[in-house]
Amino acid sequence: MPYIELHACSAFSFLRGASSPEQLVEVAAELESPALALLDRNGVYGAQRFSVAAREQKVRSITGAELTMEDGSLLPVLVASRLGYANLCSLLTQAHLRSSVKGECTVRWEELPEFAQGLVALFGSGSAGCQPAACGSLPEAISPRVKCIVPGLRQAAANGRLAACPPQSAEDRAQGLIEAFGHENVYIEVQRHFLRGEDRVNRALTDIASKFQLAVIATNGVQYAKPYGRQVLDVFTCIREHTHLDLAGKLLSQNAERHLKSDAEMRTIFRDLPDAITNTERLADRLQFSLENIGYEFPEYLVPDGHTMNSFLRTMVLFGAQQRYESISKRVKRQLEKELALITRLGFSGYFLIVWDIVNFCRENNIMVQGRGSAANRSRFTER
Amino acid sequence: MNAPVLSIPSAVLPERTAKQIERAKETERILSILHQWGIHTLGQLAALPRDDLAARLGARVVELWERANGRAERILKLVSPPESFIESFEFENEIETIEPLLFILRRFLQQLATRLNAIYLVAKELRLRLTFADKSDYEGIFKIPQPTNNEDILFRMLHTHLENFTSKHPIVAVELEAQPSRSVRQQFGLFETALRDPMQLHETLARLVGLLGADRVGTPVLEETHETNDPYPTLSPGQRRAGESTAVRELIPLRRFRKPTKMTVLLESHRPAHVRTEGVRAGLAVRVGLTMDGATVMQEGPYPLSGNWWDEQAWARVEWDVEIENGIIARCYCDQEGWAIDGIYD
Repeated sequence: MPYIELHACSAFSFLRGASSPEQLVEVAAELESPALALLDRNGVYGAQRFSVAAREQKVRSITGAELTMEDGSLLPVLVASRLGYANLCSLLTQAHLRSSVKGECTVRWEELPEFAQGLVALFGSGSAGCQPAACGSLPEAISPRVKCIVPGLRQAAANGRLAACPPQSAEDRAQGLIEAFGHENVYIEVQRHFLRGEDRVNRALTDIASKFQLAVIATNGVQYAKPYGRQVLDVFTCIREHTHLDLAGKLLSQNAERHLKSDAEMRTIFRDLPDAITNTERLADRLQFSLENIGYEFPEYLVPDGHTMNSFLRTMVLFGAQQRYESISKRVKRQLEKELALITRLGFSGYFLIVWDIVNFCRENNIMVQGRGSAANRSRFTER
Repeated sequence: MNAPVLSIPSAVLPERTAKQIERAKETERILSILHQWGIHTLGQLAALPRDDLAARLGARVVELWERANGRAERILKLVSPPESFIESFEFENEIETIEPLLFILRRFLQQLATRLNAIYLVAKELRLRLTFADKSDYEGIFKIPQPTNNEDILFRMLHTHLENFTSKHPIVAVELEAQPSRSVRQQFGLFETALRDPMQLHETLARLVGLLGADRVGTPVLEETHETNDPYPTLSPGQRRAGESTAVRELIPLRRFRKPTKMTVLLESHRPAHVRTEGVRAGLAVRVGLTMDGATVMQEGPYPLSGNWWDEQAWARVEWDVEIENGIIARCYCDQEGWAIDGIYD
């Protein structure tokens, strides 16, 4: 069972990733990796390009995202199904709508249970609470000394006090994630970048895995495709922190280990945790969602009884055409039939009806209406 | 005796606001009218009927009339010029030793302290200016950590500084200035620790600066670079859990050598198996009676580190924490120049 990288971020994680999705896929293909997961920060902006590039390189693309939680921690999630993708997008949309600062958003802990279906959560080294490992200190989020205050997400959400008191300790968070996502959908994530102190963190994480009987997976928290990407990342870090290289000090990376690594390299690094490697493929097998079969559905338009959206659109089109042309010529009729057939075939009737409704509303209320050049805007149907 | 005359001595007026200027212009207008009426003295003004004046000349003349009749009061404000606390002296004969200078400085301090005490202020800074025979100057500024008027403390501060002071030319004049401030009254928090005697620390530091030079006394700060990394080890002696490759029971600090010592390392399976320093450092290793030579019983690493890749000071090293069979835990590293020992854990 080959190792599969399940935690990589691209340059679509603004100033936190140094390689484009295409570069990541290209290197994954070079390393003969059968699949690769892209988890960008608070968004799926790079997923489409990633998916296209992966198809070209015959690497299976796995979608996910790193969610910034309200307490500043990070929650990496992977999409297992179409419902999971919808849930992830809902979580991100809500978080972005709430935010007053462009590009920044936070997900609330109490939102997770509602949108957890179809998602797999990773808990561990890739989470923000564990990142001080890079500095060699055991983070408080992992410290066993921190008392468990909140028993679980569902219970706390029910009590209405989760927002005010997010999970405090590492065990608390693990328990909360299990309750929100389900036991089989939470994985402990361990990373090794040869930094002082990270073994202490990983040991604490494996202890939690044993306690809750969770599977452990190894990831490399990839931020660049090749080792030289570290230099780009350092520059990005300076831009993000409004400083320059000479003054950035310990903000910069300690080494260049956050690149895509081969199966052999990862097996050597995690030779004491072989299951953490094999579990990556087991988990990847479960994550069958792909943007190729996304099957987007436009919202439905409420039509009068006895009509479908297609028939109602047809009726309204013919009505509108009669008003415009008085008598409909064969040429116009042929064009209308052609356009309607295409719209019906693509399932866009609802979309056209909604645009028509908006245009009507604007006209009735004396609001100037100007479209943005979409097909619906330019169609004869909405032109009248 | 001449009667008081109606006039405005503009030369003595301070800088005025726009409103004041407008009022002054209004007053001037009223005065010119009064003069035209033949009213030249305060007595003549006071004798005029108030209401008739107001009806003819407006509200401003009422203020003037009331003032002339002694019915309006303007309280005088005491404005005192900023006081300077400077004492200076020009020596009749050039002085070349410290004693006469200290003598005059003590007298200055007594006078300054008396003057400051009289207005309930304390000195927060002293400025000493010495003028030499060649007309050059020397100026020393002494910030007082805890503002005080205690002449002994202030004198000790100057004395400590002047003890190590030398000049090429004899002194012809001295000036001492004190910067006053309000006396500090501070209540410390229950869990705050404060210096028992900030002056003593300041004096000690001043002595150290005098002995060692200003560039050799300071406060240690952590460097903002990964090159001098986490001072804590990943290994600690004893109490390992069975089957555990590494265990950290407690964090112990690294005693970093001022200059890393070269060492020879024998690798087995790419891990340090035996270490030996080429020249054992006199100092710590000797003091504890241990040598940095022997097989390693535990190794933790590698920790590859690199930085400054953007300039000529680029560096890269691979660090290891090793426990030698005699119990010493050391941090060693390998860079372009070979193996070296960075320090040992206390």
